Amino acid sequence: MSGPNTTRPVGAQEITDQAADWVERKMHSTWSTADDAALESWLAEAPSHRIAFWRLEGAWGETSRLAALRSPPSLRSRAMSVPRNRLPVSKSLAVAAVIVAFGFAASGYLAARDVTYSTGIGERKTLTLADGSRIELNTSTVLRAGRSGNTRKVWLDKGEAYFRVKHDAAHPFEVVAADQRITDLGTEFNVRTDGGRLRIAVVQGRVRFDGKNGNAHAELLPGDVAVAEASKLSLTRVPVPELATRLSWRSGKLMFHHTPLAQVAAEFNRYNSQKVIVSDEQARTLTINGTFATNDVHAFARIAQSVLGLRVEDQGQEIVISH
Amino acid sequence: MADKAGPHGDGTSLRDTDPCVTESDLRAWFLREVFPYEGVLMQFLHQNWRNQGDIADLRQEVYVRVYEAAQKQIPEHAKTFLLRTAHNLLVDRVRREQIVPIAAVADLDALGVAMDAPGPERSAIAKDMLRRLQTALDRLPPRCREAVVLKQIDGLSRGEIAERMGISQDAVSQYLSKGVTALAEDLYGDLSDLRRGL
Repeated sequence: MSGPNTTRPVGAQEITDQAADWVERKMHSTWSTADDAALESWLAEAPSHRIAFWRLEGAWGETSRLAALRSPPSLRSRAMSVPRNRLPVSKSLAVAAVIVAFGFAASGYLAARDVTYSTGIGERKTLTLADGSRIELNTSTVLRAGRSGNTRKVWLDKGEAYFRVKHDAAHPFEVVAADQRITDLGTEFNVRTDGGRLRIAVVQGRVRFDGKNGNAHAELLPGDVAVAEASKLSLTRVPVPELATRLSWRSGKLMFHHTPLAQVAAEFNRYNSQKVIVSDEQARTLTINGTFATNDVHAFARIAQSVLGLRVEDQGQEIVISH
Repeated sequence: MADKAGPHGDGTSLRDTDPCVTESDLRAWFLREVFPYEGVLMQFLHQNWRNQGDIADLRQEVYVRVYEAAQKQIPEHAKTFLLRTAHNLLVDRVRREQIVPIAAVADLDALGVAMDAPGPERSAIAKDMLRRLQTALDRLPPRCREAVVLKQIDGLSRGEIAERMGISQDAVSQYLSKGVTALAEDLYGDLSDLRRGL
């Protein structure tokens, strides 16, 4: 949410902030009829005010359903020390009713260890861990998160993920992928597995890499791209802005820069169940530039057809591209 | 508040025969049918607009357009209408700004297929909402979450929260405002399982 550089006088962000202040003021008992009138006139100023207010008030209203469901353990103990009579009975009952109505098992609230997260083909997901670290999962990814001793541990069993780690020296953050270990030293980094091959790109901070059986170690810095394969580790350095381009999957995009069609097809195929096949050798080496939505194979097919003059056949399961 | 406000725009009177859509109808419709699809809308905007700094403004503009159309008549399929509005907005923007990106806006035909696909049922959304609430609350920064929990779950007053957290009442208000905004962003904007609906 960076400040809007648009020419619009009042940006959405400011309106949201103002609406949040209104919602906040309204939740307290100090709210008066004069406040009501002031709010009403603010709302009448523009539809955008009304919508922003409804949206935030709606979300806040939804959270009342959570009452009694759970507070995070650390908060729960504090909440318990609140005198009992403070907990409005009617609210608890209302929530109990909601739980029954949805048949929502409590298990989701208890499972704190070794939770598995996964994405299907073309899916993307962002997880936020309790410590505030964020993990973005790319297409077809399986990841487990848990703890071992003091170590926050994540196993990337398959696929690709981008990590934004809240560094905490007392609780190291470790990623295990393809039997190799990546330890965060205050960082943002991307890890992609591809069979036995592992590719790590560091965007910010520092990362320590430990290969299989401790046969390779490296400390990676921003811009470093390490490719580990069997017992081999190769290291290249890429300007960080270019790295961001390579990680465009995070915003659902694929960016190509003089990329051979064979590779372009392989990338699209990670995200879509309809596969692109570039059937002849000559076509495979042609290169293209451009930005596409990960799920928009057809945009790519159109370009292959109209710009490169290739033959494109949509056969349902597959799109075959040839000369 | 909004519930009492009648339709105040005079423009609506051009269509005398149409049923008037009141502010409270609109509000209910937005909460029930529109905001729950925000994840799908955001995904659409993110994927089709290069400058990610514009997204919040674009979202607002989409909502305003939807609101203005719904004042005359509430669209039957909220999700379809929302996405079509977003699509039209991006097309207008591309024209106005005279940029010709290769894949600036998804093909309308391709989009049409997706939009006609049935979305998740409302009960599924409601059920999903509860799980999202859990996640959303977990994602708040610790102090912010503490203020939200003390207010919404334990029902404490602002003064009591301030005392408990050892901060000023103004600071409590700031945490709560921030919490409200972040919760909305997460509850509505998160893609989670709804993305399959696109």
